[in-house]
Amino acid sequence: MQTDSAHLILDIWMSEPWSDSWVPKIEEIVEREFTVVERSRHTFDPQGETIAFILSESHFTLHSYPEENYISFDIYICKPNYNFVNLVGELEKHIPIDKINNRTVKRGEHALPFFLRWKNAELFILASTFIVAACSLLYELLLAQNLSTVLGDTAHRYNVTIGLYIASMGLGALVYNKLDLKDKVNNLYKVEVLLILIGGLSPVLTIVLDSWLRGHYLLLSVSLHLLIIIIGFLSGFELPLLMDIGKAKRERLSTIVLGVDYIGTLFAAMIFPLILVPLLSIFGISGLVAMLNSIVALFLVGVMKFKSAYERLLYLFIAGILIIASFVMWQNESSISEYLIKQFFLGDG
Amino acid sequence: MRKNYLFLACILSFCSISYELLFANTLAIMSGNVVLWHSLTIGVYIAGLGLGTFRSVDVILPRKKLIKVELVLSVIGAISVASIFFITAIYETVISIAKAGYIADFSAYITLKTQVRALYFIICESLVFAVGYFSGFELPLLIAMSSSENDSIDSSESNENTFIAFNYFGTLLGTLAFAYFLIPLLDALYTSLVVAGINLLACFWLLFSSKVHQDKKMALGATCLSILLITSFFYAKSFEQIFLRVYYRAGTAYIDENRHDLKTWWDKTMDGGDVVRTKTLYQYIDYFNVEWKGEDEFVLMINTNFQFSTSNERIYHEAFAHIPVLITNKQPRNVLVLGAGDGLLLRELKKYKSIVSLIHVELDEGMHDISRTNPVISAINEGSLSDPEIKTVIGDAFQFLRKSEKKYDAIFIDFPYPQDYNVTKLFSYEFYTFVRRNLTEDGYAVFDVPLRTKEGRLSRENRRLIETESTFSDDDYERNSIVMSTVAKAGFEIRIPYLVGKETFLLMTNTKDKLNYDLFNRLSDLYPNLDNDALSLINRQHFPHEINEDFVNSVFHPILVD
Repeated sequence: MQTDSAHLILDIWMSEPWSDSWVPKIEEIVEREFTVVERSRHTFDPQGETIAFILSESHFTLHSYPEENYISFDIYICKPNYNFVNLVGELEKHIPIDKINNRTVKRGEHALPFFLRWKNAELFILASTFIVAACSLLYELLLAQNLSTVLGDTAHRYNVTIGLYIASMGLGALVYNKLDLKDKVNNLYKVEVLLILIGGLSPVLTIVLDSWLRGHYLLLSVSLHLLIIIIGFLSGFELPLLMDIGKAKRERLSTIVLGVDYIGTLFAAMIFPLILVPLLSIFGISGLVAMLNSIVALFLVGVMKFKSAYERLLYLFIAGILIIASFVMWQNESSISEYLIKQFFLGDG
Repeated sequence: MRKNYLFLACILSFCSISYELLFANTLAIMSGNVVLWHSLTIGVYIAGLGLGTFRSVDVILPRKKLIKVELVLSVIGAISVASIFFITAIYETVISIAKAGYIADFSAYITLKTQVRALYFIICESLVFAVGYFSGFELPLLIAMSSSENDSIDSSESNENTFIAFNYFGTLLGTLAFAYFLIPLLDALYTSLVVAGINLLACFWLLFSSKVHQDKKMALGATCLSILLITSFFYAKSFEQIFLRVYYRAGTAYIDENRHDLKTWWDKTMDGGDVVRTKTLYQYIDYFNVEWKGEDEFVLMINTNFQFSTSNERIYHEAFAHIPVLITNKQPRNVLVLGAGDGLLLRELKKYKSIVSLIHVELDEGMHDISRTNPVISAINEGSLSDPEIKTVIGDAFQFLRKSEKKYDAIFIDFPYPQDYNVTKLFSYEFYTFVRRNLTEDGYAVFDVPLRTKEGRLSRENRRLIETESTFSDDDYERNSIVMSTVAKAGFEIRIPYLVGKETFLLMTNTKDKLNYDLFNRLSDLYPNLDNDALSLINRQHFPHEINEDFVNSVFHPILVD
């Protein structure tokens, strides 16, 4: 039997003088919204009431204090993700609320010790969200840095890059809605592999494209901005996918995923200029970021369901190759950048 | 109704990101360190967003909460720029008075400075955090409102993602409108008021579209705030003027004046004419007169960094233009000037009759226009920018050199010191390689570069023209090594750093001809302000450094940030 429930403790103070019509209104709402199986009422002298409803969903009690213009509620609903916003919104339509205090308590949730939550893959989802959010922004920042080098410094380079990135993330989120993907983890894996390939190689790609298309500014500019849009579009899938994966585990997890996504973004925005750029070259950073991202892809294989062992092996193989390749890129950053700069950026001179 | 909410999600994220950008830009310009402040501000903002999102889970009456949140955000937004102006003016004044030796000793000064700086950071960033925190409520609350008022229970998942998408579009709109429309047209102070106004309108809409009874307290608050906003529109300009005068003159006025009663101090700060502030596409240009030791001088600042002052610019530009000619013994013929939008270097170069062609590349057209048309500045540069002989190219010097095939025998480079990764690329070995390729075989390049001698110390602190203690630290050694190693990597064999006044220059060449270091007693009427002291000092100056591959500054690995 499912024990997960939601318990709302609610205090409401009224903005108008007490009216005896309010309590009957509340009773009406309770009857409309829930299935009342039994009710009990006590009226105090000189005033004040306590009403208790036994619901098939659990219970609903209220105490009214007309002299204080105050009603207290205690609502216990046996649905793990019951949303009280609608109920209180309904109350608000009929009684004039001045001040409201509330606390929602999760009840009956079998609280696992922190590290055992790993079983439920919750910690894993949050860790992935963190890394994935950081990596997406880092790809974009790397690209912005190189774009300014290759295309020249216009006053708006930074704004255009970040704006395009965010808008194509929005586009990704919208397209995700239309697609109605079934196997969320599998799709996240595919998105990650694409991002690792395109994002990890984009700094190299900018240099190479630049040397090929040097005479054609417009073509170069369009193709580089296309890279931004592709990375943004793919990143737009990540958050909805992760939120849905989280929601399937536990309703509240999806909000936590959103919060962790912010923290990952924050982390990336801080470490890029303050730590990564002084420490490594652009190509070294892209290797490091791609490697972190590939590790997430590898772990995703662990929580995925496969039709055959062969398929599983293929997924593992791809993730493994990506980790090794990006590690090699990170470790050999100085010779890679030396070669790229000599060969492509400066030309032979 | 859902459409309205989506629109609202767009508008609210527009306002929120605009506040963040306002804070980041204003703080970066005020405090100089662009990279640090931009990253910290976006970081603190997003951290706030995260916390706000977490906290929004417990909200039970989304509309009521959202109205409150928007009201608070409008207030913070409206005062965002003004409060930073206010705090910065106080901070700068305290620091510059302390620096002038009004407290016990150097170590006490450093302690005080660290404390004041920490306080400054905490105050500014807590405002940013508040913006992020309250903005974090917006999206979850809107989603909650929409799903609670939407009776037909369609898939709530797709609902969420649509809101996220519109939130992103609002952010895009914000970044673009901020860069292309709000800042160029309105400037930061008015932008903060306009965005707060838009936010307040959203708040009013939420108040009046409510189906339940209206919240009178909130309505009253919103009305008061809108009246305040409209009045502050009329006073914004004079507020900014007061801030600029305090910012640039309060410190100097306090130190220069012996009597330190508040009234004389305030009067001296406010007198002496306007501080004129112009916003170009790339930077703020401020110019004003300031009285220092009984003499009136004209000072020009770019993004609050010292650019030139009439009291010492002559010796600087003479050193820049003439000493390379003296050392290399070559009169320039084909000259390229990169940067130097104030036209003062061009004034010096025009003294050489040997020049056949002079090309000037400047990024900021606004800077060029001001230096050409402003009567005071064009008098100082003697109209050099209107000279038909000089060919001006508006554009990015990096790209210009990269594409250029022409050979020059002298290239003069004057860029702002690298405070962010965009300017750093103009100090990279790739850039110097392009410079070398555009030089003739015995040509030379000279540029204004942040180097440090053992004798004197150059720093941002000097913008108030007050000397700090002379020290040479490991950082200075590293800085010198970065500059010299980068230039060496670009293939320059001969590198001659020199310091005149407080400015350091680096002359680089690959010429096989003999160079002349003995400049003593070679005074010329071309440079009336350079005396024997300055000239004789040059070959006795010592810039400790080492040439090492690890110190090379590259576009793809920028390590030189001021």
